[in-house]
Amino acid sequence: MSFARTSALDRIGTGTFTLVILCVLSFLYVPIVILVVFSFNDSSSLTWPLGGFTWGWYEKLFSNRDLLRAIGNSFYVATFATILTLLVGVPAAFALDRLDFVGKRVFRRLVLLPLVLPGIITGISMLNLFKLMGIGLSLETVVLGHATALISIVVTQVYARLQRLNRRLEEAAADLGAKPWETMFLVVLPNIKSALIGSALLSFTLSFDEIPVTFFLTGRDNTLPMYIWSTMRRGITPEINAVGTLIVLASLLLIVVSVILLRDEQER
Amino acid sequence: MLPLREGREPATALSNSSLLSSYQAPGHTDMSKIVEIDGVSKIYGGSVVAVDDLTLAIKEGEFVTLLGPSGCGKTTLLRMLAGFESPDRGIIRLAGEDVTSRPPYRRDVNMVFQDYALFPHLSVAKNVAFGLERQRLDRTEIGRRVADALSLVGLADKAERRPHELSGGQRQRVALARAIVRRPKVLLLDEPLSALDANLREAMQVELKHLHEKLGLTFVMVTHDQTEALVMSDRIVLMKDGRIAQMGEPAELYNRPASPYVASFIGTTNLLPVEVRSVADGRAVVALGGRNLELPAPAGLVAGHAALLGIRPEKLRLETDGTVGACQISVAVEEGLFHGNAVRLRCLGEDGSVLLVDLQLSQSSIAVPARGSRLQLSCDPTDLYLFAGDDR
Repeated sequence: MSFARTSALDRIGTGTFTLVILCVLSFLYVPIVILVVFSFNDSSSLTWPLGGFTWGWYEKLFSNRDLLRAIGNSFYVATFATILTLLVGVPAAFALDRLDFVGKRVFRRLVLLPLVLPGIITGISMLNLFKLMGIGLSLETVVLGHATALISIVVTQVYARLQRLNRRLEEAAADLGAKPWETMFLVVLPNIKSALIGSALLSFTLSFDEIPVTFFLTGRDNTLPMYIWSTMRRGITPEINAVGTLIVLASLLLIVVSVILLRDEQER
Repeated sequence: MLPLREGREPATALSNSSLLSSYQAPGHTDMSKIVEIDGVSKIYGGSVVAVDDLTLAIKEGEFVTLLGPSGCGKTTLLRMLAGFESPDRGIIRLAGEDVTSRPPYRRDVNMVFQDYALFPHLSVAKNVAFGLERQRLDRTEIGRRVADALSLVGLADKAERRPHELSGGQRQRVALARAIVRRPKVLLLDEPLSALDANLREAMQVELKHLHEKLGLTFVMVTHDQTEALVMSDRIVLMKDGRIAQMGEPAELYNRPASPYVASFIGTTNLLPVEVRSVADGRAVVALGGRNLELPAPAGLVAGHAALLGIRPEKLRLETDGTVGACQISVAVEEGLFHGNAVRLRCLGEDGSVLLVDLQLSQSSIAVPARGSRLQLSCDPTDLYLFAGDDR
């Protein structure tokens, strides 16, 4: 019968499939591997063959005041942009889901606009606005700029989750004596946890490596991507590779944390 | 099965139930009436009348079923008792207190939802504890009552599971435990068995009934399933278009339906058009099968007008010994459906009307009549009921 042939074909199929996956993975990760490898390379030029192993670039990194300040600024901006986005975006998502107001459909479309708008446009328009209002540029104006662009992410994610949430759960909570705020914190928020954490992480990441809006709205302070970009004029230094490696490490940590936080919900 | 311990006698409801059908909510309050619904209306979108000027009183410990087809307003009424909807007119009292405009979280009622609405992020024990925690009871008290409630519904070993790890029947029990653990004044059940498969549903009907007897709580259940209503309730409130069509004990609704609607919604009824010959002194004479029958006359019956005569399929007997009963109908068998213990015959009367007849096959001497054979049926006049008009 055709069993033998089928299994031969199966093997070829499986082999091809594995190859494709390997190609995709290397396309995604080879650049990162190179980045990590060169961050430990004992040579200031980024060329083969590799020299010896060194922690030197990391030591240099941690003694570079400007770079450290830029990293600090990036964390500051990303953290507060994320908090601001959640504070505005989550209530907006609730309003879209629960309230009936004039212009609701328009609002739902408009809230997506900052996401598709090029960062340059957001940057220029907000720069104009701040100038008109006489507000000096600083990291705080960057936070505001990032938040406007990111609110759409939070609103769409949380709104989509709220739409899937069984409203009977809230009735059940009220029926069991929960006041509205108790229902919100004990039933609703725990059940939309995945959307909250997911959109917060996404907001944080997007804000962390944002350049166009930051470029227009920052004052004298630099964020990390801006700093890297400006030092690039003098060529890539292994020091930047070291920063990149640390960021990759931090991202991996974030992924692990979010998987742990969301594990409960994925079991369902 | 629910591990029902040997409990006290069934609570008040069953023994008193003959009194209950006469309860109509008056203007004043009465502590034995745990729920009073007084002239309540609910109108959706300005024109759709879901509940129409409905008045109903429910006695403490009673098991009342709101029965009716979808859209009759039974669910809206239940949701108004829970506080999820507020009436447009009328007053709802709970244990004598006006709760009409009270939010759900300040009403001493609890609900078993149709889809159970268990909190997916909490364990079974935490689901059951939720209501007690809102009452700020101390933790040992909560732990004890949760354990009691879970063992009552036979789920003591599932306390740490999540709802999604349970079967449909087990989720149902969690929903039940969560609702009764607060010992509410009234337990509301919204089609509690509709999501279960047929076998489980029948077993749960009995369990719920036992649970009601054991706890002595007032149960108000909504269902569209007449069998469920007949099996479980002390009293059935049959609704139609937002109003009460009839209420009373199950046997009362079955045996003395007030209208053709009630007669055909609860069980199966033959409704035969008859002509009213005369009406006098509360008695009416109607013509059936060429004979005159004298029956108690309902209100509104007018001589010379059409009326409907109702009779249950199982009340019709085969005339075998040739004796002539008080009322006789001769029919031709059109089709016989064998049900094991009985056979349901679909017959045609002489005037062409369809008549269903259930014959018990307990005596093996009775053979299933062949198709096309002519039968002589008789029945007891007391099993017949007349309805004025010909509106089914």
